[in-house]
Amino acid sequence: MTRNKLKPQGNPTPQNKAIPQGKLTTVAILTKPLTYLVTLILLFALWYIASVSLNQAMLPTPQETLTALAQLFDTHGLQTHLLASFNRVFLSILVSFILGVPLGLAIGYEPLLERFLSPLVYLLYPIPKIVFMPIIILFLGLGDMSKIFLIVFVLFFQVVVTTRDAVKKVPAETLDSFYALGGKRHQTYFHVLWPAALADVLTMLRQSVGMAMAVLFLAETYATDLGLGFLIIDFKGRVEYDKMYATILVMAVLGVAFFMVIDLLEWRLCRWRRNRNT
Amino acid sequence: MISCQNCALIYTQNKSSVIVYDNFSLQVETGECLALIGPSGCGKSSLLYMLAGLRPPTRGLIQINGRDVTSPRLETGFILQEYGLFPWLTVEKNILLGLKIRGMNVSSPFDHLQLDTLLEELHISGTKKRYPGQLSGGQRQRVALARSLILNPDLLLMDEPFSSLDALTRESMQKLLLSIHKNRHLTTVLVTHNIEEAVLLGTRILVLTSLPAGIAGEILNPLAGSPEYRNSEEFFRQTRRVRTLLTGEEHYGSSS
Repeated sequence: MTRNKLKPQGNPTPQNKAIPQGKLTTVAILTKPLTYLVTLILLFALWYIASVSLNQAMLPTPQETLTALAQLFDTHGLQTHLLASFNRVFLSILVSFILGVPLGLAIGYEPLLERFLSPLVYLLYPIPKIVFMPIIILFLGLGDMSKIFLIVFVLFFQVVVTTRDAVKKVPAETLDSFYALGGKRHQTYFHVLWPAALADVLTMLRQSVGMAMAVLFLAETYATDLGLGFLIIDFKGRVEYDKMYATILVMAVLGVAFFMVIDLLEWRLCRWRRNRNT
Repeated sequence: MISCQNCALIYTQNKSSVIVYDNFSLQVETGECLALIGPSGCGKSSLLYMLAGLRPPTRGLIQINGRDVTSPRLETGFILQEYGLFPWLTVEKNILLGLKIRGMNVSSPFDHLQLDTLLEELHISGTKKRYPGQLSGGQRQRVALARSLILNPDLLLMDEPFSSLDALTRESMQKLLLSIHKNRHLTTVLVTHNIEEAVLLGTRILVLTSLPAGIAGEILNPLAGSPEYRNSEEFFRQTRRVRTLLTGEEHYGSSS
């Protein structure tokens, strides 16, 4: 290369030298499902060993559980319970996102809002929201509304705090660069703050799915006859452990499905994060 | 023409004040390339931010082409030290963002033709669909330049634009800037901490003092404007003059 040529001369990073990115992606795509399958087989094997070793009704084998699962769809309308639980979690995540993100963006960017709302968020964030369940049921009744409200109540503050913190991480230089291009203050929300925070919020939501499912379980064990949580407690009361485990399995699959969908969203919407050399 | 009249810039934090500029005046003629050089923390970048309308002076007046600068001008291109690219946008979208936020239809064939021409001129045609994180330092610098140039500015402000580049990339970027300045007759104000760079690029070099920043000296450098200037006797003479002004000591022998 001569010194005079006007060519970009940045050096590729060591990892790029070692494996071209295309090859790396192909290898990852091919090996990822295989890794999950092996892990799943291992988990079932452990479960089987534990069940056989313990030899008690309260821990059925995976085969007994899967047989019970098939029966549940036919005889107990599992799909109705699954749909009810799915709707509750889906709507809760959606509402938390729709309400929490704009508020988090505003608190992170507007000093006046931050001054007034941050102390409130600071005080409410660490309170275990689940203790409000009886009060929420008193006010909103036994229907879906109270359960959705409770999950939103738990997730909302996490979304607000994560979004606010993500906004605060945006370098001053990025904002100056936007203003220098002619960007107005109100445009900053859509063009800078939202895309800058999105990746962090999706990561947080993905990590919060487990908590949302736990709150859902608790909410569905309280004065209701619809939902996977209700079904688990109901089967426990009837000492039908194989069916109880089958329902737990369905609830776990639902949690994993939400996790994977948010993971996929993050992968699609935050493409720039997985394409970094530096 | 840029005019900075009796400007003061005072930063206040935790009840203490730092006077960056006090009664500072400066004029930059149209088409001129002014290189600002000075010790670290002397307020070189702050001056650029004032000229860009991003940090209004505490006192005094800044005018560009007779108009007061109180907020960012649409005709000023500003390239920040770390380029200020948006990591979530592809190169193409980064470059077109300025047009988009000004309400222009960026999907028009004219804009795309202009974009392609610019990418060609800056030798980054192959990076259109890539993200800033996938680019080298030199390529990012070119994208930042393209993002400013597509807006047809009459003034280009650059804050230590080549400081994080390796020597060869830095040289190629300096040549590129020289050709852009020559072809577009763009008024340029450039902050650098590199003496050779200031002498190679600046048709006038302003050496600033420590805080509160003042002008330690001004060197007219009319021969600047071509890469070949780097090898001339005059270049070495000018670098010695700048070094003397910066350090306050006479330097003898080679300045390289």
